[in-house]
Amino acid sequence: MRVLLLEDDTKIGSAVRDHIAASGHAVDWAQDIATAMDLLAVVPFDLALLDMSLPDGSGLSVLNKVRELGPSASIIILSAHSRVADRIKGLNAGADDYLVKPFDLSELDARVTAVARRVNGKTGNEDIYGPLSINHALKRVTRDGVVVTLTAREWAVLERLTRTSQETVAKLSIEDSLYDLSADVDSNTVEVYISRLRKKLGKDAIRTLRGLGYQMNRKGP
Amino acid sequence: MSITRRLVFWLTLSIALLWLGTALITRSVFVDEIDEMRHDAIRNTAHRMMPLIVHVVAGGPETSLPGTVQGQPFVLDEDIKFLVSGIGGAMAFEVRDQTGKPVFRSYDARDVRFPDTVRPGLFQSKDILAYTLNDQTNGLSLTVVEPNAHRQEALSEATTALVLPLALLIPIMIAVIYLLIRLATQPIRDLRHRISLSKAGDPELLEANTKAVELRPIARAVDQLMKRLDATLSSERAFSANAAHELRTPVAGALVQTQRLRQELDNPSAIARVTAVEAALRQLADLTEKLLQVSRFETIPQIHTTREDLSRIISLIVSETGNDTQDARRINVENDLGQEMMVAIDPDIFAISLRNLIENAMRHGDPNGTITVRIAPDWTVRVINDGPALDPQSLERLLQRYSQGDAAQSGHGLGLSIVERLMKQSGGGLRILSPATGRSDGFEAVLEMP
Repeated sequence: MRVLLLEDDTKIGSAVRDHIAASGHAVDWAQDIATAMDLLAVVPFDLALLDMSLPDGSGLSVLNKVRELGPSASIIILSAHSRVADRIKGLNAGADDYLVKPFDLSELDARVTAVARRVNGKTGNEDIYGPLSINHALKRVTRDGVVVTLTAREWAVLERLTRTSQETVAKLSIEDSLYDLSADVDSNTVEVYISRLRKKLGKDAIRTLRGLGYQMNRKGP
Repeated sequence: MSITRRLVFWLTLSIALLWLGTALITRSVFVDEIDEMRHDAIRNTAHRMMPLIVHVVAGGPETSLPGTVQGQPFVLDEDIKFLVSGIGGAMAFEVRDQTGKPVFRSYDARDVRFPDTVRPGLFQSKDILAYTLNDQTNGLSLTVVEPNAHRQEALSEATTALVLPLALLIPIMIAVIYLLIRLATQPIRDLRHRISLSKAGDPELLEANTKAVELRPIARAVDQLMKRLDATLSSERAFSANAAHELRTPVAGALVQTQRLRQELDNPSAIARVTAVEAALRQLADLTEKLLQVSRFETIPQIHTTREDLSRIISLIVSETGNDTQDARRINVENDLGQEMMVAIDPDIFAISLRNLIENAMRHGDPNGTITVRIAPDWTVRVINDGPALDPQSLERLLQRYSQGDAAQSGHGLGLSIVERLMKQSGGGLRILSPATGRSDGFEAVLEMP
């Protein structure tokens, strides 16, 4: 996933960024609204984690911009304001969830997973592709009941491919979900991860649609 | 004692005393007038009768005297002749010769005690008023007497006539004064009612709606007080919100950094230490949250006039609490009311209360059981968790524990203490039951709405 993190507090921001990045997702961290707006102007985000109290204003303006640019993007507000009115205001403005600080990173993971799946029209935490079972809440893949160990990057690619049902995912989109703007990306990185996933999940688990991208095989490997 | 009662008492007493004073003065004037009339009447009677007496004594016909009947002019009683009848009215008379011996008396003079002396002029004693007139030519004296009993009777009747209506008037006066006071103080009661309904920040000013000129300064003072109160409460709320932000942010930073550190460590000993730090930070976060909730005690508006949809707040809190990965228990929401639950309560107070009750249910309920948040038909919100029933002593201890408001304790004690106080200050309440209603086990906390 390509994640926009808007957080002015460096301790929270760096920890959340590192945690999300460790899950294999690409995180762009903005510490003020102006930077967030600049990032939104150049790259589409799948998920926005937004603080509301920023030094240059309210995070609601960024929320509105995210919603305007990507109606299918997931938005979670991370705020120290716990008033019901604040929460309802944030949710009414288009946020999918509202997480009050302080929070556990594991709770953030759960919210991100739940929101991403809800936004993409999926219910439950599990996707089944033939013998493959992918549990998004537990970040666990089993093949014929046997747990398959994936690295964070491999999981991120798989998560991107299974985000929506029967979606063809462009190579560029996978790259975007893996690397933030500051990263150097090799041209064949995506192919490398797809290849590794096929080895672990089965060679037919992921289909290649030439010129279009990749797609999960509903029948499994 | 109410002002109305005091006014009724003192006004009634004052009017009664004034009435009595007036009655006394009237009686005094009446007495003077009666005496003057009696004096004139007795004097005129004596002067009119004297020529007739002289005529009879000189040998004229006795029938010319008033009270005589022709053929029976006198009756004898020992040595005094009495006329066969009186002279009419309440008067009697006696005629004495020059030696002072009575010659004859009027019939109704039998029971009258005449004065011993025959000194001319008016004579007044305790019992009678007398007037004596002497005839210089033949030495006769005529004494006309009127007993005072008649005068006393007239005075008593007059006094009764003056005072008796007062006895009837007092209850009527009390009723009329009470009604008049109620009528006159209606604007005060209206103002009192509006003051009781007014709250800080209310745009409706009391002064503008107060018609009674005398009450406008009070209404203006209350308006100003409400404005100051609103400013103070807004300032406190802003401080509270800022304090919340300032307190939560560093705790949040420390917590997520610690969790990141734990994820990056390989050394079990170091992981154990970081886990301990993380637990301490969680405890600090929990205590900070509770202290922030306690700080709301002073800023709870006494009257929250806007009706809030509690069903939506329940969904919000349950979705947040239900996402907590620390506890995978399912939280069921049941709405037995069959409609939206619109209640005039501060939404944050309700949210804090509900969150505390759910957290308590998670902390103390059966880890494998369910938690039910139920909107009951009696307009209460109930949080029910599985678990063994508490014995009455434990329930009582629980009540004592939070009623003492021991802020140092965590868990049920402080959470329930906060909920009870917040709900009470909002005009509602908290009840705890175990076993839960209709069951033989479980714990039930009931939020009663204002």
